[in-house]
Amino acid sequence: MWRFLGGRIAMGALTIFVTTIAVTLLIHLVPGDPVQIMYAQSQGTTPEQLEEIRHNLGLDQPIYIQYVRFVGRLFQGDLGYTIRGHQPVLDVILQRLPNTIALAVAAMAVAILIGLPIGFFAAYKRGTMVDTGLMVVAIAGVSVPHFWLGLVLLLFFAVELGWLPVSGTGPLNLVLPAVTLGLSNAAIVARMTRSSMMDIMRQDFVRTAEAKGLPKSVILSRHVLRAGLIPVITMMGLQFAFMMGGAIVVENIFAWNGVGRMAVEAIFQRDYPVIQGFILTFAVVVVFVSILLDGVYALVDPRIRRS
Amino acid sequence: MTDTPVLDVRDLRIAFGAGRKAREVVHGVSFTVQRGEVVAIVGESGSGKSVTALSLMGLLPRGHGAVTGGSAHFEETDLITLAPEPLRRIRGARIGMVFQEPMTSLNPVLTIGRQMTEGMMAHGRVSERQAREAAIAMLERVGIDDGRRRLGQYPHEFSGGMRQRVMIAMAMMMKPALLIADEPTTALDVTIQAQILDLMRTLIAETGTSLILITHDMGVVAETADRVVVMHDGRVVEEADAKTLFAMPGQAYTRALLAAVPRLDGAVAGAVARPAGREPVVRIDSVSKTFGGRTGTRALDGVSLDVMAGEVVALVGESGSGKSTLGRAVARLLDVDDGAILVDGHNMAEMRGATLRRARARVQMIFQDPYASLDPRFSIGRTVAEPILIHGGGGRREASERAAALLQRVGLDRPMARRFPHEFSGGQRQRVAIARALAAGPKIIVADEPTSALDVTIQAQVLDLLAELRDEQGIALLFISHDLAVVRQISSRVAVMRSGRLLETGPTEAVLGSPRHAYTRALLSAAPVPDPAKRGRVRVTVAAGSYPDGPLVEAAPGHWVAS
Repeated sequence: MWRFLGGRIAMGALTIFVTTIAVTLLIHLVPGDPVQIMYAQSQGTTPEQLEEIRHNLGLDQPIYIQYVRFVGRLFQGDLGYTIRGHQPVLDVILQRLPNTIALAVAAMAVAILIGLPIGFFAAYKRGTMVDTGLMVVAIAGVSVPHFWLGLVLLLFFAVELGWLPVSGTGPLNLVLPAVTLGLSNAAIVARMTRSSMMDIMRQDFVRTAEAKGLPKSVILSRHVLRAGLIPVITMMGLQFAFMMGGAIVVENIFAWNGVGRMAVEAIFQRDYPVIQGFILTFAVVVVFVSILLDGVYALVDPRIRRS
Repeated sequence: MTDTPVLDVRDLRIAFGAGRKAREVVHGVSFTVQRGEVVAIVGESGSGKSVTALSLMGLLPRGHGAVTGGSAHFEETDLITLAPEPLRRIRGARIGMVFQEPMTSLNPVLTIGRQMTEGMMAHGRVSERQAREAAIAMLERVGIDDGRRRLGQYPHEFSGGMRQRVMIAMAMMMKPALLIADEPTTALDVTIQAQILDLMRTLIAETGTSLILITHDMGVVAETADRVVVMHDGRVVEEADAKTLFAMPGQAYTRALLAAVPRLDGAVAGAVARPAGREPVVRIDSVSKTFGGRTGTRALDGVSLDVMAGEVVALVGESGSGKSTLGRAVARLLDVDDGAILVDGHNMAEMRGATLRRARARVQMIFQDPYASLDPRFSIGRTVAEPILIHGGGGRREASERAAALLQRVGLDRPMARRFPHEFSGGQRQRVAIARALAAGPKIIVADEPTSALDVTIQAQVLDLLAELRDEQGIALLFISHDLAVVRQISSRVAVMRSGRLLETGPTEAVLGSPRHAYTRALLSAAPVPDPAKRGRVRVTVAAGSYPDGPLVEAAPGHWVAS
């Protein structure tokens, strides 16, 4: 098991390494002079000032030197300074990251709490009208874009009924964005759970369990659910990455003060250090979550735990 | 034996599909099982034998199959009309079941202990501790020591034979009145099969449980059954005492079935040992291969073997003996660590790129599973024409013409070229695989268990076809098999392998008739004999490491034995 997890951690480190390279190159991918683009909106910057900024950002150095400096500073926890306001990028991100993680975790919880039982139930009722009905709803759920669902929920629960706040950042404010983000993922979880459970129900060992005369409830909860969860867990790692991506849209709809909203602002303002920091943070979170889920995976599947 | 049978099945009818599409697959089957009796239900695939067994347990695939008529009285209760809940209470507790696939019949994510005890706990008022004690005692009975520790392990920590022991222990610890075993040894090696059959016989005799043994293997029937029910196309063709059935089969179908069974004794039909060529087509020279790094398993350990033109050499051994690895190495589907394999005088291992691609035409393979080894999206005409096109056999038109001719040669109709693999039976698919192998114009065909997945009558046909091709086209054959009786029918020479070492090689009659190596003798004694009169003969067993496996020494002309 430790070897398995060690391999996953090494893979994660490699992913982050590749991301640092991509992030360094990012500035140069946009056509034109990055410093001019960054300061295009601020009038009256003199060429001398631009040159000084260029020097401060290290952009006058060869690209490999830039990279070494970037990584060197990274090890000291220094992601540079925001162009607007000149705050440390790390502080800005750390201040907002908990909000985004809270949103993603809450959305994941919504997705699992709704999707898993529906998928399991549909698999149990496979081939019936109930199954078909649930899956039609699930397909509709997958197809609905976040921004539309978010606006509809907002209109109904916040504007019409007034049950929940329209926007802002706080515990009650979390409900609508989490449901928005969670619902469409619940549909994916439901479909995945259904197909995984149906696959398990066809397995020989389920027939063995039936031949032992076990009650149906025991067969489903002990034999089917546990074995069927393994692929679902694998998928949740990928889901979480999508969830973080979805957070960017949802945070902007509900004015939720997370890194997603920050990233969009930074992109509009051409605030390169913030964008770089955001991408890197995003990668670290996704890698960390997938390693965490691999650990859970190993706990559920003895073939990995015992090897 | 008492007069009231444990199980009395009358006019059982089973249909697949529903409504208008319903298709009856079992047409009024009747048989009885007495207390303590072993009844074998034999038949080929599609005979309805497994479906009949599943229907008794109420385990027909939900929504697909259903009993449409008849009765099955078990201890005065009709299983067919019984409600689901009372039937569940009988399942496991009064009627146990053991399935064919020990690798997939246990839940991989639950401990053996949990899986063994849960049935007992669901049925009886026993505590978990009592159930565990019973499980440990039962494991010991089936020959698994250290039960306490074993109960905490998971299925993947057991070998196939061990898992089947666990399955039997699991079913028998509930002390059922009837045990249904559906092909319990089909997936196992002959030596393990012999052990499992012995074990089941002993347990049955001790507990007085009745056994329904479902199998396609006449050897297994002869070794185990008191009475035999022969099924064909969903009907009982014949029912008789085992001794009577083998001595005087009453029906033409039973006679055909028995005649198709390859035997280790008696005359071999049509095995005219054609004089082999002088030139070796394949020369295997002290080949070694280790899987999984330095600490890995040694699959091949200094193996040397020649195959002459037009000769059939059989490679026999249990799973893990390295026989398939050697076959794959000859086709260069894997690279060996050490040694050389010369095909037609050329070392395949040293070839690269286009030269290798051309050389590959000389060695072709046929695999065990005719379902998995054909591309489902290719028409079989295209499948067979592909090697012709790759190896430069002319244009598309010529290739498809030759493909059609080859299909005809292997006994299929030319128009079938337009059809797809799922439209063919297992035997027909294996014929397609043979045609595909021939299409490349090989010097040698490596056939890895080509008939193991086929029914006996189909197996006989495929073996005949291979023998014809050998005689007609002078193609050499490296025939990999675990079935000694099959080997005896087709091969002129045999090579016996275990744990990556060659232990004995020589003319087929010499090796199988007067084996010199202890392991060859053990293999021979484990092979089931389709003759109930020969039941209970002494089996030779050879523990790992207790036999000579050094360099081969010539014991008789052409007959080499490990020293």
